[in-house]
Amino acid sequence: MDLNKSGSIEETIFTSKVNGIRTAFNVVDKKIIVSHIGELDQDKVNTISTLVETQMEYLGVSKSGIKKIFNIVIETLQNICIHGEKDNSGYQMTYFIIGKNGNEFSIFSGNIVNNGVAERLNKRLNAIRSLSDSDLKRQYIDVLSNGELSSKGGAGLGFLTIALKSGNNIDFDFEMLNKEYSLFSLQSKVLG
Amino acid sequence: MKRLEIKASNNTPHIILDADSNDFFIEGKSFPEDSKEFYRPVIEWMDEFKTTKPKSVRVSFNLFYLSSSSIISVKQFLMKVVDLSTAGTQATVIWSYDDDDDDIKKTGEDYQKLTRLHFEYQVNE
Repeated sequence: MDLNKSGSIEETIFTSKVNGIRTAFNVVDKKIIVSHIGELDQDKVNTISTLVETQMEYLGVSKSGIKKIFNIVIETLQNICIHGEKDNSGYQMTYFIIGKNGNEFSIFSGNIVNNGVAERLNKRLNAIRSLSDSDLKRQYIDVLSNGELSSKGGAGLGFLTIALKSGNNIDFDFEMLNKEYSLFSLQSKVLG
Repeated sequence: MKRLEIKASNNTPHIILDADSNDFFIEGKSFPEDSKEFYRPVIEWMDEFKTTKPKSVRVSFNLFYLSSSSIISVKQFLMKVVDLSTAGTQATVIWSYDDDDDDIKKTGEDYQKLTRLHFEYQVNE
């Protein structure tokens, strides 16, 4: 798989996804405020999260709103860093976009996952989305009580944190790129 | 026992573990790329500290942000404090937070319920 190759099926699906988000926010009252396309590492996570904080302060978002958004941003970016698949040449295809619609912020992210992982993620996210606030909190405490960090450094709390901070306002989809891989897209919304 | 100090970075907290004063500090933001690796020396230090059979220990937290994997790592650190407490050490946890920071306050309360350690809450001025 060569994700960086212009015109490949994988690149076309990825680009049309990103363009779709950009188009949706290219109207009056809506705006893209942060956008990162391409590879991610911890240095970029630090840069993007600092940029998000600065932008939110500039936009006059409340301190608690900034904190919620910052939480989701970190969990989203670190998920991608840890779990995002790379192509044959080591290229990690990802996108991360924050759109603003009035005082509502939409956090979009996408990364490549193995089709088997896609199936598991789909089940897990559907289960999380069906939980009430109190059940979400209960599951969070349960993982906190019994959770250990996996060898990849995942805690099992990432998606639960995103769901809790967004008031369970999450959406996701998987688009199959080829026999092996899918593009995993996640969206969460927060009021600033 | 040698004092452990880890200086703060953009995404990791300032940590001081001092076996002479039995006063520990963890302050700042915590979202390292690999939380397990970052907190490993802290956990190992605590295992060695336990063998000194300290009379008392005071652990002060003043955190502004904790990623989900850091939340698990800090819990593992606090479980080491629980080990001390079970072995007879008098343990106090000071949990400081900004007045309007409900997230960090709640995280402290979650830890208190989980560990049943003696927590004292302080609002930053």
